[in-house]
Amino acid sequence: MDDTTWLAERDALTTALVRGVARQPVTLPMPFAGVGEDQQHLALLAALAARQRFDLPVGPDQLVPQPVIHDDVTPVTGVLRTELVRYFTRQSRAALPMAVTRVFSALKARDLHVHPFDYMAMRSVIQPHTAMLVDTAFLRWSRRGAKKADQGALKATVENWLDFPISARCNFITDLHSDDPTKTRDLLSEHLTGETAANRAKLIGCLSDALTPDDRAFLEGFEQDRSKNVKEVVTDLLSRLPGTTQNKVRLDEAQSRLVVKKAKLLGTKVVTVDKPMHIKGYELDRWYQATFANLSPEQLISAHEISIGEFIKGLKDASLAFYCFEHCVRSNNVAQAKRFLGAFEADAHQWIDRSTLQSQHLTDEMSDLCWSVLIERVKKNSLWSWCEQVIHNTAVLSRPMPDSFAQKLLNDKQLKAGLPTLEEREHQHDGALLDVLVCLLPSSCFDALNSRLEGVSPLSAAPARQLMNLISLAENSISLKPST
Amino acid sequence: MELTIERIEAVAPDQASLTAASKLLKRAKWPMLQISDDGTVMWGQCQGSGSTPYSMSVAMHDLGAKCSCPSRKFPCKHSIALMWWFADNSSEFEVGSTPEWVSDWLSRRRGSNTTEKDPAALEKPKLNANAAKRESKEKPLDAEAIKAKAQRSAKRKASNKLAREKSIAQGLDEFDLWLNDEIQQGLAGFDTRTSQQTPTIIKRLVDAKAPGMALKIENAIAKFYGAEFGERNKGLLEDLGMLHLLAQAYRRQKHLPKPLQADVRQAIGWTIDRTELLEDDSAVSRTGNWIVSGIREVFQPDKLIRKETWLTPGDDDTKDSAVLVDFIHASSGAQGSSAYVPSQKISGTLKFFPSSIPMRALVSDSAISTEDTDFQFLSTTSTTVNSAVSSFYNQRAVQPWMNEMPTALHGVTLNKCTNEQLWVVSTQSGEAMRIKHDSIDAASVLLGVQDLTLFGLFDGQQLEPISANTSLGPWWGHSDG
Repeated sequence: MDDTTWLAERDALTTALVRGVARQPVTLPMPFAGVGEDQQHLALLAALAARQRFDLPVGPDQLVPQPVIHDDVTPVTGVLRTELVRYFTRQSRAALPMAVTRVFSALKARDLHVHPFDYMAMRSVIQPHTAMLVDTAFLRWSRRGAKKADQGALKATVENWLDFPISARCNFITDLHSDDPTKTRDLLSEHLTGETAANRAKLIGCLSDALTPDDRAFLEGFEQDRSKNVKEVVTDLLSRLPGTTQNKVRLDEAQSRLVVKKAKLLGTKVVTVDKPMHIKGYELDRWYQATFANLSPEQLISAHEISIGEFIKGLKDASLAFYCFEHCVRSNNVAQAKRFLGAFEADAHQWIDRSTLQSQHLTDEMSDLCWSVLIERVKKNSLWSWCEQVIHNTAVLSRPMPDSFAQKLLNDKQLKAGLPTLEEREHQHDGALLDVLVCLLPSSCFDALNSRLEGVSPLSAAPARQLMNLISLAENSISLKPST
Repeated sequence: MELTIERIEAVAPDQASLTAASKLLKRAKWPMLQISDDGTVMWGQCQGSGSTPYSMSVAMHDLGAKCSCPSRKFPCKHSIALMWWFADNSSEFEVGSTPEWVSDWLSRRRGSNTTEKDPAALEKPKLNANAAKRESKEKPLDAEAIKAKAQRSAKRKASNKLAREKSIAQGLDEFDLWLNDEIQQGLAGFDTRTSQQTPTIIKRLVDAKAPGMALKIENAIAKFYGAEFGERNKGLLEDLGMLHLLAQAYRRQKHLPKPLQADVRQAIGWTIDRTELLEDDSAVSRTGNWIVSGIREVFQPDKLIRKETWLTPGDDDTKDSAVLVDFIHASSGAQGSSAYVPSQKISGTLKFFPSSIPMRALVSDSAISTEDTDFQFLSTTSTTVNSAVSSFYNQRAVQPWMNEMPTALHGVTLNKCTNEQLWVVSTQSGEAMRIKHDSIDAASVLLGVQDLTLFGLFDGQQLEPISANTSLGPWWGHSDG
């Protein structure tokens, strides 16, 4: 029997067994003639199965060439690699975002990457923090290696993004806009006319995160859109771009809300905000953001006869002061930021915790300024209680605390007394207090902290020691970056 | 081999045990911390909540442990804490003579301990606690009585065996009836019937003392639902057909060669006692050097974890690969007493379970030594894709139920296909072998790494990667190395 006949016969027999021989009787091949009637079909099944087990494997379809991995990855090795995996794959608790930032910043500064073979082990730990994770090779793998199921079928591309639900399309456009704004605008111009009004508004709104003056012409093209929703989104985006009519309208609105009065006796100027009466609570916060965010203090006061010094000194509205401070942080105007912090000492430490500020990248100078605010706060409180509080409000600080302050903290009596009772306190927090303390300290203070941990239970002390070891290894490893 | 925190972490059943053990690291809780003068076993006592402290002992070379506490976890927190003490501060341990309870435990341990066994303890039959109590109350037996007792025991064993053979034969007949019904109704409707008829035949086979056969049906169901939709019927046909073939082979086992007979009986559910195997001089045994090339844990439908430690030849004189298998109950969270870690080198003698393709083995000699090495496959053990395929089919021709063969491929890279499949491709010849669907995620880290030596389990169609030698260091697919 030749191969073609055999394969055709095998297919027919297999189909009969799959459909049921009661429904589709089979004529048994000769070798089964001698088998008992009740065993004939079983023998046929066994023979087909045994034959199938000797089918040779078929070769691949089109193979896709892969880039050679050595070219773009310099992995960590040795003890640093072991400690990195050991710390970040602990099962007892999730990795602390601060620890991720501290360790991976040190690695990035030295052009070192997570070893590719550890990606699997570290994926679940690191992925929640990918936004701030700096290891681009790891990110590339997590996109490349992800299963289809993880991505909800396929990943959107320029070719297929229209096949996805609107939420996935929005994510795609947001990502693409930050990578390639021109391509994004071209894609939207080509396809937006076919979308519903709600989808048009959502897709245009995706430009918000990485909005630049280059988007102005594109946005102005939708100013006359027939949908009210689209017009609102476009107006909001244009109002953030300097030089646009919308920006002027917004500025006028913001300026008109400022009330500058002279105090009766001394003649100093007092600045307040004329808030709309009908907006309250959470809505009021949104109103402040919509009205004052992204406007510089200089722009705000340009319609009033008041200097910047008088404005800061006379401002009585902490919410407005926050948006002015935020603008200073964005534009890295340290001197002005300091003046706002000085004028609003009581509120300053809360500003550092604000989510809008957390998304900013702080320069070293600005980070020092934020530390100084926290240190001022500490002077008025117990160091130890501050240390517990700091878990929540120091995520924005990209650098460890200054050395002098760290020494002061480690010598604090309340800290020394507080450490042995750490285990009880830990249950009150989601995070690990000691790990936070480690992240805040410069590595030069690790020996001192180590000695303070003598009386602390191994349960709390061991992970902290592990983290100190890891940070020291990362910060003392040899940089692979060419020196400039 | 040095006792390190990493090794302790590797044997700990879970994080909770480590955490609990860390709380025991207070010197006051430990009235006794001792080690044998040859450093092969340590023991201690730890004060628990009761008045009597728990006693535990740990064998240093494989971290096998025994504790008097009632914990279901293995090793328990006390044993882990004892290891931890030693790793952190070995100077706390006094050198002492091995107490009787430690010697007793060592003598009962299978195979691989390094301490000298007490000859008297070795001669003693194994007893459980109740039997031990009974024995202490009973009067000593004379030689005649012992002989008569042994004869009675042998007769009882033979009678039990006969009854089991009869029961299995009935079970297999019922299996054939069930399978015939399935074929009459068509395999296409198998999934709608799995919740009704299939559990019944599985239970029936367990009752008929053919648990291996029952497990194979459960595995076939799991594989059916795990396969891609278009592949399900094909896989099911193969699995059920081979089960019928197994049933037939069992019925005609007298006509089979001895090694194949052993394969068939083990597949149906007969087990071979480890002690019997170690004492069986006719069993295949090999002395040589092996490298732990990977550890795989398979969760079985019967809620057991099958932990496989794959060994590949560690020098030119050693020819055979082997696998050490431990079964652990999934609910215990334990990782088994085998504390071999990937890349470890093992020197000693392995004794193989009888089979036409001997692969499963036990470490048999007491002089086994272990050392950590830089992981390296011997190039002589690696092969090309095509020769691996033909070698596999040659072996399957000898043992038709063989499902996997350890395979090391040299000079290969991983490539993706346009349909997202992953393939091992030989750099020189372009021959390719498909990577198992379940392993794609883990193995994708090897994409772009040049000139690999890849070790895995080949099932005739696809390869499940277990480990690899690469320019970036060793890669472990299943267990952290």
